[in-house]
Amino acid sequence: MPRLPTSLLRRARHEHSLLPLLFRTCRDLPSARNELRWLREHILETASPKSPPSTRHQRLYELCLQRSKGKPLQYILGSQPFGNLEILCKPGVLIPRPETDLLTTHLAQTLLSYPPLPPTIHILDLCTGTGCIPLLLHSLLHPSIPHPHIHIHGIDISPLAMSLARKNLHHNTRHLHPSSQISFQQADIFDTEWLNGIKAESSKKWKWDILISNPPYISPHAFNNGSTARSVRNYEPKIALVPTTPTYSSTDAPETGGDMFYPRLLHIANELQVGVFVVEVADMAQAKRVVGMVRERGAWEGVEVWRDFPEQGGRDGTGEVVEVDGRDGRDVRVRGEGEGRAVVAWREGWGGVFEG
Amino acid sequence: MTLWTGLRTAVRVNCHQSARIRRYQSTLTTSPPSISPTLLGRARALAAEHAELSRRLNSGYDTKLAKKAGSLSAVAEALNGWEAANNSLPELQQLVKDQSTDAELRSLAEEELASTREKLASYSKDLQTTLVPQHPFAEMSCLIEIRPGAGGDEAALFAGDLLRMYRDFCKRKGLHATLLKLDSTAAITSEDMIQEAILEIDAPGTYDVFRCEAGVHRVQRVPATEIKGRTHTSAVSVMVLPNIPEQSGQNGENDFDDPTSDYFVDSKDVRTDVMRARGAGGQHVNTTDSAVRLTHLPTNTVVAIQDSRSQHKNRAKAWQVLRARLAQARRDAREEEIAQLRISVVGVARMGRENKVRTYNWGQQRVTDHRSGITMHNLDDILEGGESLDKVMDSVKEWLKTKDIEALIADEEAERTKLEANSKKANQHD
Repeated sequence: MPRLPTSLLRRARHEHSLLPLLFRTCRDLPSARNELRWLREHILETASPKSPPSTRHQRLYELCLQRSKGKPLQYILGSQPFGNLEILCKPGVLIPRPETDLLTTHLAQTLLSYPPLPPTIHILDLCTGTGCIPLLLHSLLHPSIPHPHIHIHGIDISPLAMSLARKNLHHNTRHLHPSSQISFQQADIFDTEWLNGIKAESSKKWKWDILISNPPYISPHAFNNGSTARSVRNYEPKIALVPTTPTYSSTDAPETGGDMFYPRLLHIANELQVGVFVVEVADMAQAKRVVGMVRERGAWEGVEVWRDFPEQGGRDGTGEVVEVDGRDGRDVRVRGEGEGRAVVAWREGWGGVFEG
Repeated sequence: MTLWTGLRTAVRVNCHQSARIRRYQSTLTTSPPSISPTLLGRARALAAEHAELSRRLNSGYDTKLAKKAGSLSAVAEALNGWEAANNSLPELQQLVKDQSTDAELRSLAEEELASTREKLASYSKDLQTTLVPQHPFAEMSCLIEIRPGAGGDEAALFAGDLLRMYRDFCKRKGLHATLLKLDSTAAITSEDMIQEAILEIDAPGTYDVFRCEAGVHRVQRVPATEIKGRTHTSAVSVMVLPNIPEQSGQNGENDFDDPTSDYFVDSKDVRTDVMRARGAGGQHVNTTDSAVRLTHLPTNTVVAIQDSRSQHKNRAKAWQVLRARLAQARRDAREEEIAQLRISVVGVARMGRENKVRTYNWGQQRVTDHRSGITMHNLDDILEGGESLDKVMDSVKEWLKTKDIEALIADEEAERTKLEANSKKANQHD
């Protein structure tokens, strides 16, 4: 981490005695100012009105101290805005990222821009964490679908995450349809019995339409080489960031160490015959590897990559085309601007939604 | 908008009748010329249009027509009253003047004459008020932008004073005002030292209430930071913008999606910049940066909002401000165009928003508005948004009205001059 110039720290101290503390984590003046303001607002909202100003200042100092050590602001304040929702956050569960927010929003908009959607949509979200993806998808989709039949099922291995996801469902009810069909289940997605169970459940009367997942995708190498922020490494659950599966061995190539979940996710998608497959990825390189996996399996009619800001350039733009080192050497369409962020694949019948 | 365009077409209708209007003038010489013949001409044209609309409405109802007729009915009513009074005037005058009238009748006629003159004056005023087209944004709620100009910290402090003044004013009037954006020079969000503040006043019609506040406000005082006791002069700019409603209007008015509307903003013209995580992004980092910056490329209008932790909310606010600024800028450009036309024809200049409109002098405890010329000596009450501020604002509104009437007359005359020139040219060709 580069050293901050003394002059900047002096200026910050001159403005407010607690700013230099926030500087240690924020690294620039505007965000330090914003965080100080949000922390103050938080204290004003939560402190009892009778508490003396000195107590409040002491509390503010404590929170700034925690933040200076790298504790995520979302854990301190207990929440993170996500789309139009407020998602509750707790240590032990991954904090929703703005990239996931944009990805989810864009997916919802893409689905809505294609009117003849099936009357009932079943969405499965694996590694759901706080439940942010199911909740946002529901809140965006239900106002535009006349008779909301949106069933969303979120799965996570962590009991802590599941209890938080249920709290979030309750916390955001005013953004959801009263008869919303959102459920959460604690399960290990590598468990064969679980897969058999969910398969048996669905194949009777209906099929899963969409499988979405933001799985742990940071390779052990990238976790330790400095590309993962200190605050993330020290405070957020490693299980949600770095894949650890029985199949992983340290002799694997360092860069592909983050790919462990994708074959399993694809396997589940194939078993359940889902129509659309959407997974978040770390970067363009990983996106290309996942595209390769999708193509190896066949069965998918189309596949493309979405960047951080998939809406930029518009749906009417054809997007750039990037070569993938797959077996058949075909290219893949990439939409938007920023880092490669998601791989989207679809089966026959869904091409109209995604091929703009 | 419809009202405005309605009036513009009315002008054209009126021009066919301009010859007739001049004939009326001879009958007017008997009474005091309390209303400009040009205005009277326009009123007659509008009343005729109103009659025509009413006739058409009788045969079949149409919301658009009804709305237009409704907006013209006040003109027709005032004109009727004025004409009735005006017509009875010569007869009464004759009665009073005539030696053969008996004493009782004469005294009655004298009373009648006095009351008719009063009526005439009041109807003239009504006519003038109803003739001035309502500002197209008049019914909207508004945003007030406050930004310090020259004068450093002192200007930032005064900007804080003005923000407080408007908030207190709103509180007293029971108007709901919320801070949409606050950029403070101090880290502790104090509303004392301001770099930029946008106050949203969420009540329809408030644009018209605050319209008179737009311009440069000047302060003369010894700043708290001044050691030698010298008086400084600094300036703060106040902008009043229309707060475009979230939902599109019904009759195609205020429509976001209509490219010809003042409120239309093509999303293709707007570049959105949001945080870009340093490095890999995604799970690798955990940023709290929620700032959103919108740039309207054709006009290079930039709006940046970072007040909320929610990027979603910041984006919505930024769009709200961008729409408001663009609508106001388009309005200004149109007014400027009309004003230029006026200057070239009749030489009536328009007072721009870039001009100094008001001075707050601490030493003399006074506030002077440079447009209406009013001077008030209770500075404290004004800065607390008290009734003295009402008086200042009312005086400016009165001034604006006079200016509007002058402009109206100028426009009419410009139009007529142009038409006469055209017809002359046509005659020469014959």
